[in-house]
Amino acid sequence: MQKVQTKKTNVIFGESIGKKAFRKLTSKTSTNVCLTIIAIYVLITILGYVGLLPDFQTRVGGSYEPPSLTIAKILGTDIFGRSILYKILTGTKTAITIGLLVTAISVPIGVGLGAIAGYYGGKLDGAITWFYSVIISVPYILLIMAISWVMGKGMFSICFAMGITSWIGLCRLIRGEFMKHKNREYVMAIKLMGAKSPLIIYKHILPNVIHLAIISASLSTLSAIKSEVILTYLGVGIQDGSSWGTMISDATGELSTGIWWPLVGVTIAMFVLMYALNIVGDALRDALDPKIVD
Amino acid sequence: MVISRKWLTILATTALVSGLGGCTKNKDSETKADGSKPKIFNYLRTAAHKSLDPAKQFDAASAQIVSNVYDTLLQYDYLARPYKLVPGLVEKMPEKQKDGLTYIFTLRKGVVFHDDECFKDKKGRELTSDDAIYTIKRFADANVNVKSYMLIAGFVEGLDAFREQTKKLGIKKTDYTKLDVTGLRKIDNYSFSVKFNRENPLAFFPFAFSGMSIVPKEAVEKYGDDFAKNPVGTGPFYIKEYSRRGKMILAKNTKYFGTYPSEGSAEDKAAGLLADSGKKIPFLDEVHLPLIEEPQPAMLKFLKGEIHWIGMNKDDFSRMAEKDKAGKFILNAEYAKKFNMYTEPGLYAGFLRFNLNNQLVGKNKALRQAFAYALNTGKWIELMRNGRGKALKTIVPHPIAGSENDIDFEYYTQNIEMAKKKLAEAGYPGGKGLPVITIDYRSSNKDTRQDFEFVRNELAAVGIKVKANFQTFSAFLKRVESGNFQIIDAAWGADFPDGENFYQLLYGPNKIPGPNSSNFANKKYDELYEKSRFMENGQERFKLFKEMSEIVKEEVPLILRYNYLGFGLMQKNVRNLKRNMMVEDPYKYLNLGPEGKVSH
Repeated sequence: MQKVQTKKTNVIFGESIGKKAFRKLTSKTSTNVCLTIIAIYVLITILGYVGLLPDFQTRVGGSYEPPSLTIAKILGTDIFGRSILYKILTGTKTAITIGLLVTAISVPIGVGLGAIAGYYGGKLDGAITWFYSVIISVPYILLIMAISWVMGKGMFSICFAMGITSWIGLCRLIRGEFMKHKNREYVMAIKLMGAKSPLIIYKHILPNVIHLAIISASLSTLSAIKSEVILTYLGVGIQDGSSWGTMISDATGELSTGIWWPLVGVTIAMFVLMYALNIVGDALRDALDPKIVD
Repeated sequence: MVISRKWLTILATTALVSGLGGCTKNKDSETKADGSKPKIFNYLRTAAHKSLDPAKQFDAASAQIVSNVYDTLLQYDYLARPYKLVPGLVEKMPEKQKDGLTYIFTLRKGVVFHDDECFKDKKGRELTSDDAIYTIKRFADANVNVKSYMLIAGFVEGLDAFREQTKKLGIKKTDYTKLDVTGLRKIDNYSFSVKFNRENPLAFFPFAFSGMSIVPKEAVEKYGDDFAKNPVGTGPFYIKEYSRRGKMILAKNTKYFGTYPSEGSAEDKAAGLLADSGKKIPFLDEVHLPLIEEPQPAMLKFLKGEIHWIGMNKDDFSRMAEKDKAGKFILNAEYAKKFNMYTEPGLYAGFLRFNLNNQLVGKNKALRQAFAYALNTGKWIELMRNGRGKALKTIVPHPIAGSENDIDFEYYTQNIEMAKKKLAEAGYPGGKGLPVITIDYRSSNKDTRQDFEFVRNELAAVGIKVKANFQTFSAFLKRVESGNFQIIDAAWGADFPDGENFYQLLYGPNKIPGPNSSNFANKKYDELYEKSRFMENGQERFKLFKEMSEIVKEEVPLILRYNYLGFGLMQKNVRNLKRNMMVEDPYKYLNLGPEGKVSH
């Protein structure tokens, strides 16, 4: 297939949607840098799961040693003489795992229920709308805390709690899109050809709205990481000292005694990831949203 | 309705003027009749009280108010150490009668209740022995006191039977005038007798407990359930402003009978604690007690000079204090210029308790001994408590008679080799095959989590793996009561300063739901406890304590940890503050000097 490219608009005629999106996504240096950052965080997580990260429980020095020029102590040590850097690395594994797990739970629920409500309408739509209205009427943090207390503490119960409470925004979006799309000509045509509803939803409408889910997933990951930090700070989240929330919680008292390095280290680690996820989220929207043209 | 601009201007101006008036008129700075400024002590409450009805309260927040509004028959000497009882509402210590079991309590004459609507002409009447008997009966009434009767259970002749009767009759049918307590007899308006079941050196402690503060029958009857909000006592203060979740203001009872202690140690004298000897108390005109639940804002207020006295937590201590070369705790130069600091050992024992009903830790003594050898309590105190405490060798805290100060006894110290040996003896060499053991904690705050991390690291060094279950205090209590745990992070604060109150924590019949949450049952230990329980302190009793401590060391139903050292700061103008762990809120003894200014 012949590709014709015009310099002015960067449009390649005949290019597939996926390729076009990828090209647009990677066209900006800032996005590429952020994608690299996220890849590094994911790599750290993988290294953590295969046991290649240094053990954060190992004592590498004295209590509260300030940063110095050795790898283990480059961000200083904590009360037990453990490396802040190693704790941040282990916290990265926790944060990324939570972000991905929560997204993996919330996006399918949001997309699934949104598609059903939007396509079928009627009582089914009413029931789903009522259901998410009830959930959203309860303050988010309180709801997660309540679920965590019931299910017990730990990473997976926190992920479950966050996952089953954070799908509502996406569900509303998808519902709205399905309501629009179900009356369009291409859907009418397929219906006339005898296609059944599940096929129409899955094969024809979903590909046209899935970009919303992808954008939402990037933001959901970000939100989940932030929520974990808040919940752990409140004493509900991860309790074994290997999460950023725990580190921030510990740092509150330390800061007043002049021990700044644990908080600085973890804040930078968190800021960099949040920033990268935000930039990539925006870039994904630019790349995938058909309303935004070159 | 449309309000014209003119009217809005008038309304706004009126509001502004009245507001300014409110700002300029500070009721705290009003002068007294003699022209002097009132002495206002600013302190705080860290929790809202549950009830101000003495018999219904058993929490520190309620006791903070109750102990200042009411009086007890006996009280703890404010300056003396070790802690000892002295007369409160009685004019002298109860006098023993010939039978050796009966004591005469003689009330002070001229003690009057606070003025209140419950009395004739709203004037507080004089305290009589009827009030004391009524209060003791009310304390024993099962319909009124569900929490603290165990402090006196089994002590007074006929009182347990009385309690049973009240339980059967219920609150509506219970009439104290018709229910007799054989051990309580009125002699005259100012004296009554109490007959105890046996010779018992612990017998007087309940009479100093704030729950047995003397209440007037009229107030209880007039206010009913609202008596919890309308306290009427004989105490050094009355409630001027009541606000459960706001600021409580206590005001001086000018008719109070008490005087400041006239005896104290040489150190007390050197510290200026005897400057007000024998003077009429209270010295303060008002005590302001806002509710400030979070420690950080409380400390900020203290640093700004808005409150006079505050306790120090670990982070405050790290920032403000240090140990000098002699090992003495002192304030940093920056803070020493502004504040004074005190230290006082607590009446507290902290420990890790094993559940002896648990199949793993309960049935394997060598495993428990491995735990005991693996932990370095001294290091834990240094690191996690800034050295503010002392490792315990026996279960009795150091300030109480019968502690390690009185008996020659050595407890476990960290010995990794022995820990590994015991672990192998337990059937888990190097920790192989040993399941992960859960420790239950009673909070999930930062300090608790770090405590656990310390313990986990120490145990990991010998091959023992543990995990933590952090939970709320109420969830923790439920878990303990259910007996469904392996190890708990536990502690006990003294109900009264006697070794018995700590050794009872391992007495067989006190097993769950009682205070023996280890479910420890050792026949020899129980016999020794029963023998020592009602003995006077002395070598004979201490010998039994030592034997019990040896059993505790051998069987390891718990691992002893530490007794904390209480620290606090006060503004430079605070006088007469000597931390007394049995008189937690000693406002009636406090005074304010001229230097230093605390704003309101």
